Amino acid sequence: MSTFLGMAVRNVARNRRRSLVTLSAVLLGVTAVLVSRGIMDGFMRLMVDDVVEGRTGALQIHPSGYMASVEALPLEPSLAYDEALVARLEAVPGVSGVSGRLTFSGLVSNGVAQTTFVGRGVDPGRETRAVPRFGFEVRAGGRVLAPGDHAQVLLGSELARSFRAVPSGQKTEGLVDRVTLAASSPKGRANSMDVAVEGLTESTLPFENKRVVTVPLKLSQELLGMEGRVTELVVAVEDLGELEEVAERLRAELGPGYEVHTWQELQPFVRDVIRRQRFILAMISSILFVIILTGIINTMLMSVFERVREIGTMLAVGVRRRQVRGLFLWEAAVLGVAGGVGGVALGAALVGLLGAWGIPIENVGTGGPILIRPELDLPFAGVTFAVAVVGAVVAAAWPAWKASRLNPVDALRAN
Amino acid sequence: MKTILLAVVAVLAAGPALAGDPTPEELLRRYDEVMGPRTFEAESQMTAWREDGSSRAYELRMLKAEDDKSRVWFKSPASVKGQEILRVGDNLWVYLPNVKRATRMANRESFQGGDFNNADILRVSYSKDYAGKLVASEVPETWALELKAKSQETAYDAIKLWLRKSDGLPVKAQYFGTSGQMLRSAEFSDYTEFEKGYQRPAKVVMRNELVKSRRSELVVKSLKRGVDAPAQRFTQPDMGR
Amino acid sequence: MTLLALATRNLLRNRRRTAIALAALVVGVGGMVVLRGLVNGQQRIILENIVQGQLGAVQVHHEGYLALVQGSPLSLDMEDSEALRQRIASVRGVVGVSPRVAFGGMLSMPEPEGAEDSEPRTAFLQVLAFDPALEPRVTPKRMAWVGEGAFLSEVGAPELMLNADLARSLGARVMDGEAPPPQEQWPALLAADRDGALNGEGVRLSGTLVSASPGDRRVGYLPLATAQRVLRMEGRVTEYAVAVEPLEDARRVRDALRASLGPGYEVHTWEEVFPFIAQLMGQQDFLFGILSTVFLLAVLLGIVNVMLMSVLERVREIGTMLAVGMRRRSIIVLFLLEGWVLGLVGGVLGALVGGAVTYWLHQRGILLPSPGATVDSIIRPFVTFTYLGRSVVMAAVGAGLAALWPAWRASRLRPVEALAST
Repeated sequence: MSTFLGMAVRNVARNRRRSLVTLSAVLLGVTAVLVSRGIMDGFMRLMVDDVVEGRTGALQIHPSGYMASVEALPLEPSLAYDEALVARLEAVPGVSGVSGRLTFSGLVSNGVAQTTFVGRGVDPGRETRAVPRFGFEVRAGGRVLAPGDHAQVLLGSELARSFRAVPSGQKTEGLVDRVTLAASSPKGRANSMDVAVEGLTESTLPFENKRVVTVPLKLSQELLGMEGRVTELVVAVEDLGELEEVAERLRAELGPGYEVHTWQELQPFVRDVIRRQRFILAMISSILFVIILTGIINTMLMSVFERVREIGTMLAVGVRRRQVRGLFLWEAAVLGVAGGVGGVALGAALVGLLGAWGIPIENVGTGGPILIRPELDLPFAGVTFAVAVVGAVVAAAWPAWKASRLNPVDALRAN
Repeated sequence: MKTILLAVVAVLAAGPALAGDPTPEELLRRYDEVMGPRTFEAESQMTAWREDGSSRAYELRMLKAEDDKSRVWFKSPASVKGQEILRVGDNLWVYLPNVKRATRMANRESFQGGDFNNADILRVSYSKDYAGKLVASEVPETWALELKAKSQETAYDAIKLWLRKSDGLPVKAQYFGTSGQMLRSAEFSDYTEFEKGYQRPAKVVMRNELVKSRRSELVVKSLKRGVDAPAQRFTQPDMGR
Repeated sequence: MTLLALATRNLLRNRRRTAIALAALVVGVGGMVVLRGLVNGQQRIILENIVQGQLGAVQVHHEGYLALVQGSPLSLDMEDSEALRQRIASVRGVVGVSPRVAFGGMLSMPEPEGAEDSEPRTAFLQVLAFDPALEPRVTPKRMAWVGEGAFLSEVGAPELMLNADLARSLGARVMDGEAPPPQEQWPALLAADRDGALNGEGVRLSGTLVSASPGDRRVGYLPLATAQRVLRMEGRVTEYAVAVEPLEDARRVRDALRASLGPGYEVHTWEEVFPFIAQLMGQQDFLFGILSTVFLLAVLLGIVNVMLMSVLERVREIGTMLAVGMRRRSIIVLFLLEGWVLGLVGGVLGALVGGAVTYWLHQRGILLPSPGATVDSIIRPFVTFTYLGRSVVMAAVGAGLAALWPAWRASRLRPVEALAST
């Protein structure tokens, strides 16, 4: 056997042109599949990130009964928000960040007119730990809330327009850069605060633009008389694949009185869209495999058929048919492995490069395009490699078998 | 809604002018007696102005008993005729004649287009809920009282009241949220003797200080104290009768 | 003999190699076509769910309605009339018009017997009121989201459909239409009219809704005339939802409606009302473009391989041609033509095969599992003729480009060496 392998390698090395052709077919095919899959995975990641890292966070913790409540935005019961609780939660394995939020409703006015709004009190110091893309919806010209902010808020773009409000610094005649927020505490105490508009948020969801005001957490707590309390805790996890496990650990850690929800439960619509995307991409991957295999098979067929005379010679000098076939299969295996390894290497390198650069894609709501970062899926690379090698060998099998059946005389005369 | 009741409840005046420098507690007690007698029945008219300049006028009848039971019947305009509001403590019910049923509403809802949001300044049990302090008054012939909430459950954190030196009746008031911003203001006028020996302002103008174009006027047409107000009239099944 | 004929004959001469190269092209182009068909089919599903399940293809409102932030949306209502509906329906492409009123209201549950001090069971919700006879023509998929009970029966009935989760939170049960419980046990729908005056009516919960649509669970459906009664706006509506066939004509219909209705109205396509979906599809198209490019490159590099091999095999033949005086330029053109012909034929065959497979899948349908929604969706892939044509052109051009280097290599051969080689 080892002599065959040796011969196979020598044959491969000897006829460089032909080997290169087959090898490059395998290599290119594997690279193309890996790069495509990497791009698709990067795109899916972007969609999930949009929700998880930009809006809801991976998990949210609410007081028990919150989601099922008939009231739209109940302020009671609320959760205590202090360093001890946050530390306890961040210590749960798998959790990478926790931040508190206060969601409430009230009236916003510019002195002349008023309307209802939905307020999101976020903790600017910690929010990026739990929701790393916090602020990505802020339009150019404004700025994101920073840890030092107190009486600075972000308005939904449509809401701002109807109140003729602009970020401070852009104020001109007839426009305002301050508004007043009014709300009541859970006990009925009325309160109001004058705030400066620091930025406008823009999203593809009309509700966000018309109704949402983002404020620093302390401001909302002060406005509602809920110092030290929040209506939800947003949790980021290290590995989204472990989401359910981390949720279970949190439930165990917190006990009754709390409810933990995954982002899929919080945003079922996005979850459904993403699921369908996955299904489609899986089908796309299959078709791409077929295309690649065809390429490999093609080149294999061609190169074996070219060597019919060589086969005839071998048969004529007494090499057995079985050995001839075996030799070809080994050659195919060598080429398949070499091409596969090269393809995986090149594919990984390209994916890494594209991942570092990012592929820009349009996204309404941000100042500009966001980036797809392709990523490598190692098990998938392994599968691709295996398919390529097997494909090369199988592709060589038929012509090798066919040629070995030939009459040496016919074979020598061929081509 | 509930606040309207307070508006109407505030239609109470009693007693002769006080003698000597009164204490804040005395002034507050008098205010409560005048503006919120224990039991009464009243007919009044409330007009609300909105940001767009439009206005709406409501005619109401109201019945109040004990500290916190009140019921309002709407007489006009036609779109609300027959509707009732019942308030017992923190609970609020609305009766709609179409539905022939009382519906429980959470307190925070704005009602009738927000026209009655201003009326929450008429909640009256100041001596119980607020601690008062006399300060210098820039309005001639008045006492100025600064009230600070005793608990977190009052509608306002602080109130400033100007009361006539002659009889302790209110002239104007300002209402503040926890941040110190003025949320509402009120002016009292048209002092009328509704019953023998009982005088009080018939008209209150309430302003929304955050949206200056919103204001309401409450005018009390008639008021009878000490009426028979059995507890059963302040229950939900009684609504609509 | 023309170079083209020569090229064709050369291709036919080495049948196996040509067949192999063609196979690569056919699978490549065909595969791309099927892929595009899948993506199209999936986008169509999302579109249908949004357009035919929720929004309608085009919406007509009072001017300023969509941008309204302050004040009641009811203040920007429109007078409904048969004439207006006709005017909308008469635009070419419009196949259905549904008048609607969208408003915010409260649902109040009756207190259970004897419990006077129980928690208030009142909830805010967004209500969509429509004519149950007209709405299905514009949003037929809406019917698919009925959970328990039945759809609304007729335009003036005192009925309500409520999101299943909300119904559960309120403890509301579906009430049978044939033998309904007494009216005192019905929930009451309360709402403020455009002036803010509260009004209400008892309604029977006829059915629940399972949500497969965006937006949260605080949603209910009401018959149009019932809503108009409660809101004291008889004869008035806040929106017209318009169905358009084919859906691609939505923009044209929008423009035609704008012209026909004039100022005082605003007309929007579904993409303008809900831009999130359009953006998603735009991103998908972009992604698909990238993937196609990657794969096209791979296939074409394969072609380069094939042609190179062809050149290297035909060294003697090329030498002969050069020796008898054929110009190097013609050699290049010859090989380019071989590439083009290969590409053209492969492209056409690939497009045909891909088109046929797509068609077959279209008829058969691919089941898309949708856990959570009551109805699974079926993807029906499709491609446009334009796309097929484009793929053929791309295959031809691509193969031609792939042949460039081999052709150049061929032309560089020296006749003497070429003839001498084996």
